[in-house]
Amino acid sequence: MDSREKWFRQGNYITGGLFVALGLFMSIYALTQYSYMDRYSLGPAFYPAWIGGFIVLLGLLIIYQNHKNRYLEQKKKVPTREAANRMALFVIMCILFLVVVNFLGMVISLILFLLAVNRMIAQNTWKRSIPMAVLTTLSIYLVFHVIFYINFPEGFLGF
Amino acid sequence: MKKSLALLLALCLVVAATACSNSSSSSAPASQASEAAPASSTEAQGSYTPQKNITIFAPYSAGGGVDIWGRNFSAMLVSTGIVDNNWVYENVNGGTGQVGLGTVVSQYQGKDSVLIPTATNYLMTPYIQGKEYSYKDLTMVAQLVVDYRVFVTSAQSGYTSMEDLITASKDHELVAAISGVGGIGHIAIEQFKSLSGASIRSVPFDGNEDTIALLGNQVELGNLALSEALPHIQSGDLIALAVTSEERLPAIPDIPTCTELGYDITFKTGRGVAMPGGVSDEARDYWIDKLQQLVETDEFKAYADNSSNTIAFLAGEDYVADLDRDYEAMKVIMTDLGLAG
Amino acid sequence: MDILENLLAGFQTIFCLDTMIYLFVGTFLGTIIGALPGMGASTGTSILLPLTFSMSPLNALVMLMGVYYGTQYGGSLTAILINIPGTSSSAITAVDGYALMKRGKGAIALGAAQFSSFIGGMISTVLLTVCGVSLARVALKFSAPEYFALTLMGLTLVSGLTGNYPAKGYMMMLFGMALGCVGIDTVSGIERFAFDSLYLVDGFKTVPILVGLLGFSELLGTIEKGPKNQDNQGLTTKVRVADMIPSRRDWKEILPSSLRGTVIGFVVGALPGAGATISSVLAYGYQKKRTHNPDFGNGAVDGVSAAESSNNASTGGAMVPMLALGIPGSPTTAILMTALVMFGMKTGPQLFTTNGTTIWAVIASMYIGNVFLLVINILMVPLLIFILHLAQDILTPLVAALCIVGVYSLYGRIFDVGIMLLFAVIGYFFKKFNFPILPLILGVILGPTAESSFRQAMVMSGGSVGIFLTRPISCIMLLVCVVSFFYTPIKERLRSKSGQ
Repeated sequence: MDSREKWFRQGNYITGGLFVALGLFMSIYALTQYSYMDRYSLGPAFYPAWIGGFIVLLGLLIIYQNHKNRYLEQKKKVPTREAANRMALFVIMCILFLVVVNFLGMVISLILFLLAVNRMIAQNTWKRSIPMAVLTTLSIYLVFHVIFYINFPEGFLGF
Repeated sequence: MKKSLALLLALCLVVAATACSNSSSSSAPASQASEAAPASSTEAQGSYTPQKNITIFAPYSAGGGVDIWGRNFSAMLVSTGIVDNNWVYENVNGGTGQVGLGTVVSQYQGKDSVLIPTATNYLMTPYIQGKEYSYKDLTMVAQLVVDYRVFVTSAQSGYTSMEDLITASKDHELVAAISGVGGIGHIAIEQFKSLSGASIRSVPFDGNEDTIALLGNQVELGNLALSEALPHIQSGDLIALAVTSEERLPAIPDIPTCTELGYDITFKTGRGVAMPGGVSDEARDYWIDKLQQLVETDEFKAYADNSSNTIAFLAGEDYVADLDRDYEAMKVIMTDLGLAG
Repeated sequence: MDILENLLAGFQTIFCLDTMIYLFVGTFLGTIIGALPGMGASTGTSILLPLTFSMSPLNALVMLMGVYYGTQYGGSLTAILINIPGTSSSAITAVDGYALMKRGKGAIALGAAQFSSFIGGMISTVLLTVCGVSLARVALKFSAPEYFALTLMGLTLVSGLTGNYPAKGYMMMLFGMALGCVGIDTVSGIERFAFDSLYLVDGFKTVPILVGLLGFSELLGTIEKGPKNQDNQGLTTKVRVADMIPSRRDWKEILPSSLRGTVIGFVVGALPGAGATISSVLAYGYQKKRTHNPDFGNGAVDGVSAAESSNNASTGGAMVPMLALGIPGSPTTAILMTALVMFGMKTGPQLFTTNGTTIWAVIASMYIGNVFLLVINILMVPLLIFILHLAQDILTPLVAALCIVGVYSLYGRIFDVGIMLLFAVIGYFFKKFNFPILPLILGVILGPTAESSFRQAMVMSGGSVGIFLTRPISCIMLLVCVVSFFYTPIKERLRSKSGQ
């Protein structure tokens, strides 16, 4: 089995395992916290408990089928380290945006976010990135805030 | 392997960040009123002049009933010439008004450039259920209109009065429709149940699905806001059985009040205006005065008429007292129902 | 004929310059709002509402309506071009539409989408004109048991979508249904899985999940390929306007599927409580049973046309309860009704008698509006292609920014943007490990209604499950479910037997 297949197999195991965990959590939490049956109808615990239960069963089935190498012909391309780093970096930029937006305000945060993505992910030059970031943010501000009256998070600068 | 771990780590970070950004954004967007100079009323002693830009803050998303009420009354204040402020609309949605109220308490405390459209249900129901915020955290300015509740049944049901229903309930358990567990309609029906001894089971619906169920004769009883029910009563699709007002309503003069029938059920939805807590009496009284002028205009009267609301102006302290009364009554019933937190 | 007279009078009323301009503005705005991820018809109409105070009732209504059905046209544009559903009903369009785009057949996907939207929009308006009022009464016969059967019909579709690995397919459907458990439970009133968070209390909203799973995760895929990859370059150059006009062979697929989609969309749209999203799911599912296209689910034109025709037809259908009975079946129609009240019109069955001229004029405007939209959208395509082409290198940051702002603008919560991001990462991994996304989407859309309608039905019956069978409509629909669930496997079984 080559490394590609190994990675794929591992991924299926982990996903299956996570589902089993999710299913167990859902069922147990629902059954202990909410009522199973109400006076006339099924209670709030019924549906999540059964869904969780089936998720556990299917999760185990997936793990088993994976063990038997049933899924191998589905394998996709493994991301290179470079690609993985790029994606992780992008996700981190998004998270930083979320964290910072209430502090710096939508406009500034978006400009910074766009600059970062332009430079580090798309690898554009400053010449391309700065106008793009500024113009895009201003157009978004114009369309969403001025025309459609959507209120954006404001930072300490007031916009 | 390392790449998957990196991405999985990113996944965990996302979850964590979302959780964190919750707590930071629940003390969320600062008001645009902070742009203009803070005309705090501690400045001047006796007089209060509002800023030009006033924020209308609705603890619901754009398009909902509360938001539209806010846009309506503010638009009418300007169109009738009573004030000439600029309105800045802000919406913070979530948790039946709790997120919005939380924002008011943490961001706008004491700011007298903020007006808040109010509706009875979000002012007290979540609080009774154990949530944190209620009308007690706000400065109540005035109630402008009330929307009474009316017990209805479908025209196809064969029932024509409350007595019919009570007779039928000796035979089989009545099926009623409610919109939202713990909502005003639910509470009214529960009170009717306990006062009349009729056996009723309530099917909980969402939004206006209860009206739809009634129109289709899928259920036998419902309790709707008059504004919502009136068009259908007038068209003959729904039959009104009793109203929750103190006196008979001019729109449907043949329908008895609950009190007349012997049931003391007087719930209603009041719509009004409030300001954040900690605002000066002068500021509040200024707006009481303006709103009082508004309800006396023809334009407002036409609006109330069109939306089947009854004008019932209650200023400041009176508004609070009325809310207190409703609060106590609701608390009792909701505790009986097991809904109180 | 009375109806024809009224309609012609309606046309006369709207044929003046300012009404036409407002119609154009409304439909144009609708297209843009529909294309933008996140923001939908309800946000758009509610924001325009106060601006309409100063307009004449006719102009205001014509414009607001234009926005409403316009969004169903615009949603397909971004769904097909960049896999970002502008409205949740375009999520189904994105499945086959974007697959076609990736195979270089984006032009025909776009063309099919616009034309089938047109068919759906026009025919549903005719149906509204002719039988709207009577249909409204029938729609009232639908209540909780029928809605349960309806959603069950949608969920049984998954049986045909699982491919060779049913375990994964059903798992995704269950996962989607599990997501719907978070939030306030309608029937009991308690909060489930909210853990005291004011954000989780309202549950996971569909749009952030869909935008994250489809569009934003696609962004991650693009990022994975790297900044200088040539794939996208090729894709956009392959879309030429001339190619958008369907060939004869294409029409053979588009026309029947559009007609089916239209009927399904109109009827489902007329049910208060079921809207564009559910209709597109059901139309797509039904088309799956009838299609001869082996690519269905991976780039079939009739998949696109079924979904698009039905989501457009559902707006016409949604007008039925609103105009005939005065019941808003969805948030957007509720806003439209508020507009009616604001202009002093009496909603409910008396609407046609007291404000007949205005209402018929609005209905007339829907015909013209659909024509406007067909033209606008077809012209938008080269514009969008041009922008996409020009913006090759800045596409990733641009799309990311639009998704973030669009999703935020829905409810004004950064939390939703976080959810979108979360599902983008989750979606990326699902695609990598071959877990199908469509069943997940179906579970998310249909799960909550399935649960609550089942339980509501049981309260209605006082605890007896028999209610589903004693009511004729739900009984028939449940039988259809059973049949369709076993249809494909039995067909295969019979075919392989006779093949021997």
